[in-house]
Amino acid sequence: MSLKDKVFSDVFAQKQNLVTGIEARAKIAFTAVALLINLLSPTIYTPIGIAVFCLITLLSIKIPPGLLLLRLTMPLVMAVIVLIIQTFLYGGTPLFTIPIWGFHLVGYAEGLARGLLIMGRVIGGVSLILFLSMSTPTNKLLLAASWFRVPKIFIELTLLVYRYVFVLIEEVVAIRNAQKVRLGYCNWRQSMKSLGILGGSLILRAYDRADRIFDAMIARGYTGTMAINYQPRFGRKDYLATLGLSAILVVFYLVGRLRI
Amino acid sequence: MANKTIHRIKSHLVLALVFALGLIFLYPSPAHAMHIAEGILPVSWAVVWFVIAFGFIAVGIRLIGRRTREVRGLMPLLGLTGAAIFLISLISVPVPIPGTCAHPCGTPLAAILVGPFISAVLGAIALLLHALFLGHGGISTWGANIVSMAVLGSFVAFGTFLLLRRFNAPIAVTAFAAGLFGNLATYITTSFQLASALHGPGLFWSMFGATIVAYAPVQGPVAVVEGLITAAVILVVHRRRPEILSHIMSRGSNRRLRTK
Repeated sequence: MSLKDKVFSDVFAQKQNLVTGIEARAKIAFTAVALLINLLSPTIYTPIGIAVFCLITLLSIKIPPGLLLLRLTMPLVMAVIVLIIQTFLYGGTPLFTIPIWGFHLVGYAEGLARGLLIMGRVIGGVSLILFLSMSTPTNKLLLAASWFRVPKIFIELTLLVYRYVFVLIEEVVAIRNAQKVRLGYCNWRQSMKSLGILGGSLILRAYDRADRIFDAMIARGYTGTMAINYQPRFGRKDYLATLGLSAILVVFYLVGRLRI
Repeated sequence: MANKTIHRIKSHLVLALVFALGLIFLYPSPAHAMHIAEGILPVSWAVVWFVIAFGFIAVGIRLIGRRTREVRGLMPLLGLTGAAIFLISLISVPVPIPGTCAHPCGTPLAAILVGPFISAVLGAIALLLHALFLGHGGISTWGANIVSMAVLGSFVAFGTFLLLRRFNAPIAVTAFAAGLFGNLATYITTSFQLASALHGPGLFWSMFGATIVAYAPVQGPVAVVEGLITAAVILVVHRRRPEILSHIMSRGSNRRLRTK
């Protein structure tokens, strides 16, 4: 996997398939409502249902399982930390005791249940975000956000940052390789010096490039802000997809109210 | 009753210490600045942090809009600076603990380069990209992460930089302190956010202390790395293109007052 793919995994969103074909606005609305249902769920069944749906959908459009696992790792670490802290610091019904250094650490039943629910919500929520980002190209995602009245300056700036990350990433690779062949990063002290020069050079190149890019944009009719106008046709296929996603949302909601 | 509370606080501290030791050995490398993962905060707290964050972002967006009318090339410049800072925040910096490395936040550096309000907007964009494509942070926790990393990280760093410049401290020391305190502010605020949302009927300060102590072995080195990288990058920029920093150098320095 290249550095670009490691940084942004939306390369999969550029492919044509059933899920990437769904209109971006429908997917944004679905994700937003599903995130709310996930957070308000009183039981762990809804988060599990959401995670299963999203991960199976992503696997079906050939997203590598290793990448999904990689993206889930960091949130899971925090979820496990919250689970442990909740188990020991929340509740009043002792479940187990661990004697350590003369103290008795008591694990509580309520804390364990709450921690597991939070952990489930983390897995469900992150799966939803992956579903959105890995099946929708970023430019479509941001332009669709303008339809939801997100400020245009914010969208324009995000589009520019996203675009220039790919431009500057080449510079990072080139500078880093040049530093390595000149014995940079050979020890910790040298690494810090090399990283400082890398970061500083990156900032300076960004400033230099900004002038050239502005001149090029002016030549193409740029007036200081970009014209952002997102009004694609919402066809029959999109209405059907929205109906299907709405039905899935109802299922998510009802699953959370199950008493098993 | 009092004895029971004291015993419980002591147990929490012992748990936090055990946890801290565990994290030193088990935390996945590289270590990142603390992002609250999707699904961890309940809806009520997520809304509170969104409202606070959007206040700062709205001011930042208005500021960018006003300056864009004065300097037409500002948007490409901010886009490139944002992309450069985003990439710097993705660079793994080795930490002198065998086998570990850390990622800086980048917001203290951004605050020194473009000011705290615009840095908050760039930080919010970076957090959105982190959440969507890397699985760090989340959408419902975006507001909380903006407040801790983009807003407080920027303002504390900017304030520290200005304060130390008033005492005519060397630029390397000033930038190091700005990075260090900006990162520490992020870490403390995130711990506060986690404790306030998750303490339940238990003791808030006990949960807050446990979170602070538990994360200290990971976040301490990350803060030092942030300081070192900020200092190294600012030194390079100051030596090669001092005019980029002229806005903050003239504002912070006390030399003008002394000559009166």
